[in-house]
Amino acid sequence: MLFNSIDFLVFYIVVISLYFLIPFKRFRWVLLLVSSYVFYMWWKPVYILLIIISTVIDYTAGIMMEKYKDDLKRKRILLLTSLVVNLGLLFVFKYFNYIGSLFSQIVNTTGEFSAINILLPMGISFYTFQTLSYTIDVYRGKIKAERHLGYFALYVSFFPQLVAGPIERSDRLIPQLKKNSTFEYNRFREGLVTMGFGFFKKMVIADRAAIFVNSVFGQVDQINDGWEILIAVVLFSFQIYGDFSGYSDIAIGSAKIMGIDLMVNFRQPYFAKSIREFWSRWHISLSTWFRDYLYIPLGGNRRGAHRTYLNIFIVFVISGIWHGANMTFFLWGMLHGCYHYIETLWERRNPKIMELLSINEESVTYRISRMVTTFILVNFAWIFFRANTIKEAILICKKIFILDISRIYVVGTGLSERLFSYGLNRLEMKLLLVAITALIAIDYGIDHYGGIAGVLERLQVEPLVSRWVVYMILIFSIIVFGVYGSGEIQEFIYFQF
Amino acid sequence: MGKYRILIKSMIFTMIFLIVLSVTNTYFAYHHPVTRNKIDQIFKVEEKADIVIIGNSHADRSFNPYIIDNILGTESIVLATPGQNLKQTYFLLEEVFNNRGAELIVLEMFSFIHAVPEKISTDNEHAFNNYRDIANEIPVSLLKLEMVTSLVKPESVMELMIPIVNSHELWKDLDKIKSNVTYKFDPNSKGSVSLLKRSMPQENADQYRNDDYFHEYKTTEDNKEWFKKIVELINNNDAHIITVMAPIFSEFAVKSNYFELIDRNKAYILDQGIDYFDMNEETRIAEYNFNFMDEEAYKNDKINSNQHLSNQGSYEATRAILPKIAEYMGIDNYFWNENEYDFDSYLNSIEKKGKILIVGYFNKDKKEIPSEAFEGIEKLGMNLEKIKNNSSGFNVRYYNDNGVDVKQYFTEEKLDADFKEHPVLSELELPFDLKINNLNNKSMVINVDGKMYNTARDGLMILVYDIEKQKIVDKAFFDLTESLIRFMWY
Repeated sequence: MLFNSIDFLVFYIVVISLYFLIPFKRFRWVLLLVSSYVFYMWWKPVYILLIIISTVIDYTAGIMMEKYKDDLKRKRILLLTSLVVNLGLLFVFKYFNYIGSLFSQIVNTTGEFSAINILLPMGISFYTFQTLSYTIDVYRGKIKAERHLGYFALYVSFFPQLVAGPIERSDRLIPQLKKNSTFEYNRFREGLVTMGFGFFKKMVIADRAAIFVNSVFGQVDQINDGWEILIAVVLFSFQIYGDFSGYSDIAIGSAKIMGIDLMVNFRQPYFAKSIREFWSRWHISLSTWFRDYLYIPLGGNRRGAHRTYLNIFIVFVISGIWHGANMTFFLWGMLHGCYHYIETLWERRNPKIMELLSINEESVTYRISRMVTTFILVNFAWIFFRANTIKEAILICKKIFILDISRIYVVGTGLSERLFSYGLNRLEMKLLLVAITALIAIDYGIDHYGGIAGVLERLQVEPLVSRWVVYMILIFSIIVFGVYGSGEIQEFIYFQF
Repeated sequence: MGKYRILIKSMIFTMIFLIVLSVTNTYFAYHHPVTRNKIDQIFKVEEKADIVIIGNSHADRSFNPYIIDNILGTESIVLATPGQNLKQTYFLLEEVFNNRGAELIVLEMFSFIHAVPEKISTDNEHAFNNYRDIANEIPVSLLKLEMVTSLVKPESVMELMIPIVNSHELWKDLDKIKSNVTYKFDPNSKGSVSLLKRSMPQENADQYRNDDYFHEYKTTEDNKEWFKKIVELINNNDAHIITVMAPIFSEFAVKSNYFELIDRNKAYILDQGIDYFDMNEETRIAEYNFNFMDEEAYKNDKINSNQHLSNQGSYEATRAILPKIAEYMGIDNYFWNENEYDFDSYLNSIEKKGKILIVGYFNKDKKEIPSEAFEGIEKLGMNLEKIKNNSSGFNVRYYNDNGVDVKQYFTEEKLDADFKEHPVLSELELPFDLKINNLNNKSMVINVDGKMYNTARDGLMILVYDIEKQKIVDKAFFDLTESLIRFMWY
C-alpha cells in the first residue's frame, strides 16, 4: 500500500480511530500487528511469509541467545543462523540474479544464466537490517531479548516504517510500542503537519521532478548537449530528497499521532557543508546502522589512520551495494568513499590553507561556498545512483561537461523551448521552482528551529488565522498541485530497496 | 489546552476546510456546461416540472421541449446526457422527485439495449467522464453517495465525491476556471441545447457502418433490474411514464439485430404495465407519415451523427410523440400549426396591422444563409447582401392599422446602443424603450421595455409588438442552419 493513495488514507483513518477508541489498550498491539500485515499484504500477500520467517527466526534466536548467554559458541551459532537466514533471503531476492548474470558474463559460460523469476519484496533491505540490529544487540548483551512474540512481530513489521524506514532499533521502538499512549492534541497536530510536509515533498516536488528527470534520462543518448541533463541531475537531487525524506516524514508523522517517536531520518542534508556532515544528515538511520554494525566491528577509527580510511571505504561501498544490485550503486558508494577520504586529507591541511588565504570559517561566504561544493559533489554522485548502467553514467558525465552556451539562445531549438518538451510545460516548471524554493525555506526554518516541533512552536506565536492559513495552504497545495500519477500512483524510489 | 476548546477549534477548522473545499470543487472541478445546465434544472427551479424527457443522447436529440411547451402550454425539461445509462437515469429521477417533482416521465429506451459495465472506474475513460459530468453537478448528499457507490468501483469513489481530486490539474486551464466562474444558469433552456444541423459528413457515417461498432448492444439483466426500479420509482411518486424508442438509422437497426432485441424486450416492457412507443416499428411509420428507417431519412437531413436526429428529424419526432404526451397530460385542445415552424409560412402568418416588427439577425460565424430564407429576409426589409457579409443587423418596421409598412430603419452596424438617442430610430417615435446589445460578440440581445430577448446563437429573431396592447405579442427565432428550422427559445 502506498502512502500517497486513497487506500492508505482510508486505512490510516480506520486504524487511528480504532487505536484510540479500542477499550482494551493492552491489546493495541494486536490491532497494529494486524494492520501492519494488512498494509504489507496489500501489495503482494504471499510475501508476508518472508516477514514471518524473519520474525520467527530472530525471535527464537534472541531468546536462545539470552538463555545461552554464557555459552559463546552457541550464541555465535544462533547469531550466525539469524544472519544467514536474513541476509540469505536478502541475497536471493535482491542480488542472486544480478550476481548470477555477472558471473556468467565473466566466466563466459555457454548458455544463458537462468534467472529466478521473482519480484523483489518491498522493503526487504529495511526490515532485514532492522531485525539484524536486534539479534546483534542481543548477542552483544546490549539489550534483553523480547519475550512477547506479538510485540516483537510488531517491531519487525510496524507499518509506518516497514517498507522504507527509518530503520529503528529495538530498544527505541519496542518500549514505545508497549507504552499505552493517550491522544494528545499537540502530538496529533505535529504528526499531521509532518505528514502533510511529507506529502508535499513527495507529491508536489518529487513526483513532478520525476516527470522531467525520467524523460531526460530516458533519452540521454539523443540529447546533444548537457544543459537539459545538468538540469535533470539537479532536479533528481530534489526528486530523491523529496521522495525519500517525504516518505520518512509521512512515516514519522503517522507514528507520532499514535504516540510513537520514530527517529529522524533526514536533517536538511543539502545544507551540509561537508560530505561527512551530509552523511550525518542523509538517511541517518542507515548510516548509524552501518556505523554500529559494520564500521565499529571492523575496528572503526581505533586501528590507525589507514585502517580507518579502509573501514570507511568498505562501509560506503557496502552501503552502495545495499541500495541495489547494480555496479552503478557500487560506484556511487565508492565515490562517496573517495569523497570522504579526500575530505579527511583536506581537513588535515585545511587550517594552514585557511590561514594562508585569510579565510574565516564562520563567514557566511565560506559556509555557503562549502554548502554549494558539497551539493555539487553529491549531485555528481547521484548520476551514478540514477543511471541504469555505468555506460549511461559515463555518457551523462561527458555530456554535462560539454555545455555549449551558444545553444541556449538558438531560436526555435534554444534551451527555453527544449526545456519544456520533457513532460513539464512552462507553468509546471515554474511551479516546481516555486515549490523547491518553498522547500528550501521550510527546511531552513526546520534546521534553524530544531525540527518541525520547533517550527510549530514558533508558529504558535502567530495569530490563529495565520496558522490556519498556513495549514490550509499546505493541504490545498497537496490536493491541487500534487502529481497523482498518470493513471498510476508514482511509487517511492526507495521501495526498490 | 482544554478538551472542549480543542474540539471546538477542530470543528471550526474542519468547517472552514469543507467550505474552502466546496468553493474549490465548484470552480476547479471539471464542469460540462451542458450537463451542468441540465442538472441545475432539478435543483435551481422550484416549480414542478410537467414533463421530464430522460435517457441518453437519443432522448437529448429527439424531442424538442420548446415545441412541446409552446403547443401544450406545459413546462418540460430534458435530462438526457450522452451515454447516460439506466442507473444514472434512476438516480437523476430520484433527485427530480426529491426536489421539483414531475407529472410525466418520457423515458427514451435506447439505453435499455446499451450494455455498460456494472461498475465503472477511470480505466474506462469515456464512461467515467460521463459519470463524472453528472456526479460533479449533484450536491453532496446521501443520495449522491449512493449513486456514486452504486455506479463506480471503490477506487474511484473519492474522485467523484470530491471532484477536485479528479480535476485537480485544472489549475493549469485558466479558460476552464474562468468559464466555471462566469457560468450562469439559464432556466429557460429547459435542459436542452442540442439541435443538430442536417446530414452527417461521409467520413463520420463510414465509421458508424463499421461492424465493430455494433457489438455492444444487448439488454442485460442489470438493465432490466434498473428499468424495473425506474418504473417503481415513478409509480411511487404518482407520476406517469411513457417509454419510447426514438427514431434511429436503418443500417444500425439491421446490423445490431435491433428488431430481434426489441421483440424480446417489448413483452418485458409491456409486462410492467406501461406504454411503449417504438418509433421505428414499421407498422407505425405510415401512421405518422415519416420514415426514419431508410436511406431517405439520411439523405433528407432527418438523421445526423451516430443515428441522432437533426433539427428536422427532431421536429418530426416531437410531432410524433406530442399526442401521447397530450393524452397523459389530459390536454385535449392543442393545435400544431405547421405553418408556424416554416420561415416563410410564419412570416406570412404574422398579423401586421397595428404592429411594429423588430427583427434582429446575428451571424457571428458568417454562416451561409439558406436560400429558402432569401425571399423572407428581403420581405422583412433587410439587405440580403449586407446580412451575408456582416455579423449582425437590425430592422424595425412600423405598420399602421392597415398593415402598411410606413417607416423602417435598417442597419448592419455593430450594435450596442440605446435607440432613443439614435438619430434615425428616434424619428420612428417608438412607443417603447429599445436597446440592442452585442454580448461580447457572442449573441444579440434586444431589450424592449426592460425585457430581454436573447438570440444566444446565430440566427434571426422576430419580435412582434402590438401598438395598442403595448407589449410583445409574438416572438420567434429561426436558427441559421441550412434548413432554417424555428428554434423555440422561449
